[in-house]
Amino acid sequence: MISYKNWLKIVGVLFVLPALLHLFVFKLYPLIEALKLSFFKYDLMSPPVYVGLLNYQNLWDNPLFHQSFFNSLIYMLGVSIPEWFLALALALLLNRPILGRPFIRLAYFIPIAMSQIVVAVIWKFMYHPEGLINTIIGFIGIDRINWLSSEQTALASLIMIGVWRGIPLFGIIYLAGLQSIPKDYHEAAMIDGANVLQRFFYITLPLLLPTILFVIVISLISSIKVFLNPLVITGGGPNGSTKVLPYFIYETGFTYFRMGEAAAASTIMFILIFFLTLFFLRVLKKGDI
Amino acid sequence: MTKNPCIFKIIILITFVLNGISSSIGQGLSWWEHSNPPHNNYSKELVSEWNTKNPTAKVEYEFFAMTPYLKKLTTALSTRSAADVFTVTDSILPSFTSKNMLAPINPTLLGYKNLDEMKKAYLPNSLDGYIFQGKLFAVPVIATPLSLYINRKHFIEAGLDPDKDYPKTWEDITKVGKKLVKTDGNKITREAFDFPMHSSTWTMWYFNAMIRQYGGEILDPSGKKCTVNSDAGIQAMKTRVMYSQENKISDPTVSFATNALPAEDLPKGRVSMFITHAGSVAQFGPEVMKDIKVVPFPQANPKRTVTPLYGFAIAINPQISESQTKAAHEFIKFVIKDPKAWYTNTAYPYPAANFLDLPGIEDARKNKHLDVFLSDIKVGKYVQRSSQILEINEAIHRAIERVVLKGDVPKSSLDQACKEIDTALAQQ
Repeated sequence: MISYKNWLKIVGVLFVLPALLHLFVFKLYPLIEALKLSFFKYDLMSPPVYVGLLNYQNLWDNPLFHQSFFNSLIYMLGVSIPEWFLALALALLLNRPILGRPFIRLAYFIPIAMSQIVVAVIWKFMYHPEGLINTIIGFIGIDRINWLSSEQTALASLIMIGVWRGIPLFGIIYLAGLQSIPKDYHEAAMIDGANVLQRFFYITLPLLLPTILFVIVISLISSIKVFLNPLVITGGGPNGSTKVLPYFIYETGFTYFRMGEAAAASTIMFILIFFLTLFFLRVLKKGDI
Repeated sequence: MTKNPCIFKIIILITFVLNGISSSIGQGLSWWEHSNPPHNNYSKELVSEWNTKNPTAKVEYEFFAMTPYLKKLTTALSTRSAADVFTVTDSILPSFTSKNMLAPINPTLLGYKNLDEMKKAYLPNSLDGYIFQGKLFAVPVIATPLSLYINRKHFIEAGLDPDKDYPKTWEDITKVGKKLVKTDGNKITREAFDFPMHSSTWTMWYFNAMIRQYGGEILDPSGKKCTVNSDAGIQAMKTRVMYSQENKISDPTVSFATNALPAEDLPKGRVSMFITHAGSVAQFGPEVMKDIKVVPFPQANPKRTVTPLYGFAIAINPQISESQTKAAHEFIKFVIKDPKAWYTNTAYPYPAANFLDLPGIEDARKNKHLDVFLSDIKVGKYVQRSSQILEINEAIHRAIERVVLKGDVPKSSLDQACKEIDTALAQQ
């Protein structure tokens, strides 16, 4: 006879079982397989051949991998850092009683609701030499900028799209964080004579720290995984200047059919994300937040 | 598991027998293609006609978007789940043949005595892209060169006669281009000429032909060493870049940014001369084509004419049974029975030797520039054969981007391309 306590345990396990199965089948198993594949030479057509660390050696010797790796780092920081501050500014603004606040909140959420491919195509048109952005800057006397065909501006153009799309999402997360701070604290501080800045730095910011760390981790992870915009807008060009790690992995695996090398690059990317997350989780734990 | 091994054996035996019976009764086939609406519509018509005539050997037809198609096909071949027949582009064939992923085509089953006789039935060079080690691996259904499309109106406006003054050589493009270009200060408001720059495959088509015009090749005869940084390669690159950097008749940033359908710059009047394939006649439509003239692909040396050539062809899965392979040949024979219908339905020429003499083709010769396309196909050459072709394409595309968009020196840019290509070839 199963006791009520044990029965509850079984029910609990049954409830989490689908999620666990999903995790194992679609996340953990492919992860292990990818790691295994990174030690094999495999082109989809011939049987895999064990090559040890050769795929990692090839990546080390491949300047395109280095370029993609650094492009990814630049993109990650270029997108994430402005997102942290601008999204917070947006949230602070939307947390105030301003006219038409529900409408503004909705409008800011539109970039996230739009299909990513549609966004990419629209931005591609806007970045055209004769597109909307050049027309606007032309009105204020700035010469045409070749946004996507210059190595100097192509990655920056993609970063701008990433920031534009990320701000509303993280703004909403910040907003939720801001609204969870009890108003009493601010009211008490106001009675004690604290000004706006003092209230922000001594009340809002410390209490928002868990949300800030969450935004930092999620923004870094989501920006390093960017794939669709380089694929649709620049095709990784010009001269590989917008080729980021996920694009490199896709091209190596599914265009050149060097699956082992693609798996090795994926493993390196996984390690990078893993340690980034670990670092911020440590910070989170140290700060007891 | 059954307790009696005899019953188990009988079950297996029955399964085999039934399987054998079903495969001999119904030689059903499956056919995969890339997505191209006019082409797919005609293929569907053919399948429907075949299925009506052969109710016991029906063909199932499916098509997929071009980019995922190649991935799907490769993966399916490796997992033995690919279609029985499938359409492939010529440049990708070496990747398959080098791994025995295609069944050789038997010309006798298509009604020819041998491969030599079959070659005679096709335009010169047009089967070359599908022959490896003396064996044919796919049967072409369409072939197209890249030719030069010029805007008649722009020519007349510039005081040029489009029927006489059209460019024959790369130098001629500069000459007429200087009259055609429109500028506003330093800014080009209408390009005289431009190369497509949106994809490495397109880059390779025209640049490979240009290198050959100067007497070079992308790889050495063994196919194991890059030679694109040779004098011929450098000369081709200098020609490629002279319109934007020296002569200022071209603005590559426009073509680079006009992705997806770069030839659209021509009907929209943004460029006066553009290189594109035969299918553009249908894409532009008769209204636009009234103002467009198609002329042969420009040459470096009129004595050594080379034009880019590419095509699509039907191949057979080597994993199917012998009887299915026979049925696949029968089906291919049926599919290619009417070259004129292929042309009228897809707007791409069919590379049959007698194509221009087929009844009813006169109108297309007069009004759809078919003579030009056919003459370009006759001197056409498929791109470099290599199982690493996609990496070679990308390396050359990047080399051109470095020179055209960044101003790098042709020699050093091609040296870098060769380094990348040699690395890719070493991993074969």
